[in-house]
Amino acid sequence: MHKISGVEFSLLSPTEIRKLSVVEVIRPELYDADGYPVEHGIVDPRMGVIDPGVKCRTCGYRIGECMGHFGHIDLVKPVVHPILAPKIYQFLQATCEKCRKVLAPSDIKGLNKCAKNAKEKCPHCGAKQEKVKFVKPTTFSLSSQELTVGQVREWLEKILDEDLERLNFKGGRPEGMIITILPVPPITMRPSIVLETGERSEDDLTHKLVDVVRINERLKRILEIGAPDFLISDIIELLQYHIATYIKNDLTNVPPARHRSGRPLKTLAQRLTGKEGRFRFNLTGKRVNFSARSVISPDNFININEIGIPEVIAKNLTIPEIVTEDNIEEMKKLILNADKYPGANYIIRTDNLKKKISEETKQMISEEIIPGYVVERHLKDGDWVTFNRQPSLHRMSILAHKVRIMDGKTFRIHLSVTTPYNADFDGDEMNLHVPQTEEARVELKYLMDVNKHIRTPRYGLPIIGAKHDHLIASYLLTRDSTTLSKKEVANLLMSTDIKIRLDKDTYSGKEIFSFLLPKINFKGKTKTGEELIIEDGNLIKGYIDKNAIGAEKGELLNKIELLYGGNEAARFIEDLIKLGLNFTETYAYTISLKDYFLEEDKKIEKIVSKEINNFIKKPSNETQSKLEQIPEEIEKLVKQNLSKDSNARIAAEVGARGSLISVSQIIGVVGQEKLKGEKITRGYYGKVLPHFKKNDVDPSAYGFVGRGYRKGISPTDFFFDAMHGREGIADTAVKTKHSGYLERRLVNCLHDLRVMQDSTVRNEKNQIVQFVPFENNINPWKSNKGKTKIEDLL
Amino acid sequence: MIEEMKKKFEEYCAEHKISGEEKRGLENKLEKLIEKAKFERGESLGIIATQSLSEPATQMTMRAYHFAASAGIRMASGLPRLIEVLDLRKEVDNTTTVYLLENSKEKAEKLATEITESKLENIISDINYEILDSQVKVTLDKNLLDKFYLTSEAVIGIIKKFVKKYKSNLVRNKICFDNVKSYSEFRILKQKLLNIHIKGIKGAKQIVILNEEGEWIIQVKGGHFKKIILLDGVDSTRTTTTDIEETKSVLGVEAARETLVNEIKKTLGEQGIEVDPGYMGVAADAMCVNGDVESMNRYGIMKHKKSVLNRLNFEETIKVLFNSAVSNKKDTLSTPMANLMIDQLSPAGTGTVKLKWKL
Repeated sequence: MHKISGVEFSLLSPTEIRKLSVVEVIRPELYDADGYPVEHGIVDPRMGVIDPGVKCRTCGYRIGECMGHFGHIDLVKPVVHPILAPKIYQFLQATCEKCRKVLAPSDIKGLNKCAKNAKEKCPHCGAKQEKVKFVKPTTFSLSSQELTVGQVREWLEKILDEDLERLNFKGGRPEGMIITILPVPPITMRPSIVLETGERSEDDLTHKLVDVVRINERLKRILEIGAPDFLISDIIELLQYHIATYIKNDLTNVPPARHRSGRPLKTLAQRLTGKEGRFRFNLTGKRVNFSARSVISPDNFININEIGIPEVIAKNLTIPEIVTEDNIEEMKKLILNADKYPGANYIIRTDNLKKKISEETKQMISEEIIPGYVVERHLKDGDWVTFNRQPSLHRMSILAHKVRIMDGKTFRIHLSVTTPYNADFDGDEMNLHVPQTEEARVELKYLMDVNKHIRTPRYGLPIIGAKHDHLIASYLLTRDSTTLSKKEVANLLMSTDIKIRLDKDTYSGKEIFSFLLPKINFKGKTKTGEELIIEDGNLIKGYIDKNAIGAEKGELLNKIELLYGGNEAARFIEDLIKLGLNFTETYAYTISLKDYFLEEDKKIEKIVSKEINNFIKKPSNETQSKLEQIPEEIEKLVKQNLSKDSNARIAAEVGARGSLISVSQIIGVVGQEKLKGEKITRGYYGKVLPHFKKNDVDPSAYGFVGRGYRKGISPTDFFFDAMHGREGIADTAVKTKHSGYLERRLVNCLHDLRVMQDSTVRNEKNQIVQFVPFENNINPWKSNKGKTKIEDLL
Repeated sequence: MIEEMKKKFEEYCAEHKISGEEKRGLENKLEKLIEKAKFERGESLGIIATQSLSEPATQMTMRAYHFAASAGIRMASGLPRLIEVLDLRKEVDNTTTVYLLENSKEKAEKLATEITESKLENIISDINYEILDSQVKVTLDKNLLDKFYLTSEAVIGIIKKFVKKYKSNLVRNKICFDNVKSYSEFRILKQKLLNIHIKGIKGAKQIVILNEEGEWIIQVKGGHFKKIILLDGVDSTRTTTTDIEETKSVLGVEAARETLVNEIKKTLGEQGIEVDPGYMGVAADAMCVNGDVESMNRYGIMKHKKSVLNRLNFEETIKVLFNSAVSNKKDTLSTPMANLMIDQLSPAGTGTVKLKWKL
């Protein structure tokens, strides 16, 4: 295969169009009475094949192989190209009406500038210039005398080549902007569809071409019989309209051509533009084979870089394996299995012929294969595949996993790998792709492996880590009070692969955690600010929470990854999660209403009524902001007084779920509900809801909820709460739109920036954007928060 | 950078009394760490920068405005602000933060009067027409004059420049205009007088004096950066504006780049989103490669792209297509996008190298 080195754009000249053409289209009919395509008609079979089994009359290839061939229509009268009409106008402005030379002073270059700076008297022949007028879409006139298209064409023909260069017009001759011969696209790009009723339904382009040919032929006849001028000019105008809408059907000042049903036709320009156009829909995004989609569900007992795949899917997705002397026996076995699970679907012979393996053919094929054949075998354990969830917002949205065939019909993934995908298990579906070349498989294994993407390049901390229950488990295990007997410890360690001799009778939770750690020193802070010290792989002080091992935070995990690599870090999380879950299964954990009781209930009420009274006495910005600060005050109270054993508090402080703010909203006060960042004031005249008095001063009439969720809130409060909630939902709906467009723009602007072989960052024009990437050459993906520190080594 | 690391390393070793074999071992490890952290050749830095900026953008709030500090200068924030910055929007509420050479409240207040636009109407207590004398009397407010550090002599000096039709003279703290013949004449004169610009920068209306961690600063809404840094007492080395275009025209592209990075950093930081500043630098550098600040849309960076296929894929497909045809453009397939479109391996990452042994 040859490599394409470039794509060039220019105008097609009439001679080129004629050269391309295999047939002149002169008949507006499509099929004759017998249903065969008409010769010289718009679906003349010489322009390509769309029916299976038919050979192309021009090139002899079949459907799928024949790309199709252009035909042409010779227009009786020339027609203006509707999209290039403004360019033609500029040419008419820029050149002399007598000698056709450029009117602008000789130092001015470019069509645009020359058109603007045209002199009223020609500097070459001295002719005085009349004003050229352009009426959209395609009419030109000189001193209120309408120019025929033929006249315009003659004008453009006389423009000198050296002037064209000066006008920066390089894609051909300007008279090429006037259409004299219309290329008819191959039928392969406008195939007709056979409906259930047996009728043929033609493509929009075909419909439009019928119009063009019909009018063109009528014009030819009318000219022959010498009809009156007004009739001729009417027909010419109609031809112009049909060709204009054939090219672009949403021109300004032109009514769109419509289908019989009233739907506007989708013609050439519309095929290319926009999200559903050729460029964005078909060229930048392509459909693929060897992919699958299913619902995802969690499995904490597989590795994070594994994926559970149902057998049905494994049987349909195949990997081409080249038969060698070493694997020929194995391959024969697979072929003999045919569509029973570890089997194969197709073989490809050395002459590239593909054969399906079935119950009937399997015996024969298994005897046929020799080294060099390719067997398309079912997916098996250990194969590398990519897994993806949309929206793919960053590169961790597509990662490589190792296959594990499982029962059931869903994809199984480890819980920790949900963060990079931003997935949950409430019905999310994800896509799977199977690489088909050896290069791709190698790239998957060495570049896209989940274990290599534990840290995010965004800010240099792990994105994969412990979540929810895992964090609670780690806390319960490593807090000071946990001690376990030898038997319990042995049971716990059974869930991991760790083999260790247990000499003591009792072990502290910290010691058990230390079994999982590699040899490492670490100093950090827990989420609540307590000290966490690990020396030589032993947890000395503090407990493990989100700041140590959590997704998007875990500093300890970060250090393990940095010093021991992704595989070790992955092993650490996997073991920790397995062990932790095992632990919480025996030491139950739950959150109940009991966790939301505070002795200082009265105190809260006092604070609230005090601030409300203050506001009612003197409504002002200050008292209002005091009101809004109540939840913070209560949060402080909760922090001081809520029992350390409250499970709700543990969940919040460990980083598993919730926050102290939401705990205090349950225990104490919900606070001021806001819309657009301000208290709620819109609604009825002088009041927000009909339940209030007009001009009420009570803050609760404007969305202040003075009670907590535990005690329950009033119906009006509930309504305010819902208003706030609704705002949030509407907000996210608008936000995704805007951020999506931002992303598209950024990608299109920046995707060409790459680190070159000399470690400079350059763009498509080979301009140096940065001499050293990031100016310090530290990749946050491979360092600690974008820094290299000496502490990382210790 | 490496020198900096070395220095830190030496300091660390001296502090912890590490030497000899141990030190060499540590140094080795450090060098490996630095080597490992380097960007790999072929890395698609632009795409990663994009993702690092736009992925968190999906988590940002849509709320368009917030109020700076307590004082109430309205500033765009969140996603709308990020879009504003990358788009280089013109109609934007910019603010200039003024630092002072001398840190005192009095200085700040004095400077504020020099910045605030004050018209005659702001410093007078009364304006009268005395029909009998055909005289207009403008009473200047002594307190306000002091507040704006003005004298009545200075005020009349300015007024004389603007009002030449009538003779004016100062009587104590009143400015009198003679020969104003009718009431309608008075009305025209009054209108004119009230609008006379006495002091400060035209258009600088919202000004706030703040104390930020013990330092007095002035925030001015609406930019006016060029005029402000020329004022006495302003620390022009630290005074900044959020207006990228103005920074460019006053201080140059490098400063504009810095402003870009700072603005992106600030908007993301306000939302508590962590992004390595290096990515903002890449984006800002890409916007400034041509020595001018270009926006991240079809009017800026995209307009100057060489790759036709890239531009076709973006916006205004038909326009780009025909302009490329007319000027005979060629896409040399130097971008990943163009290669993707024609189904060839992209010149990025593993696509930059060839396999010695064809599989």
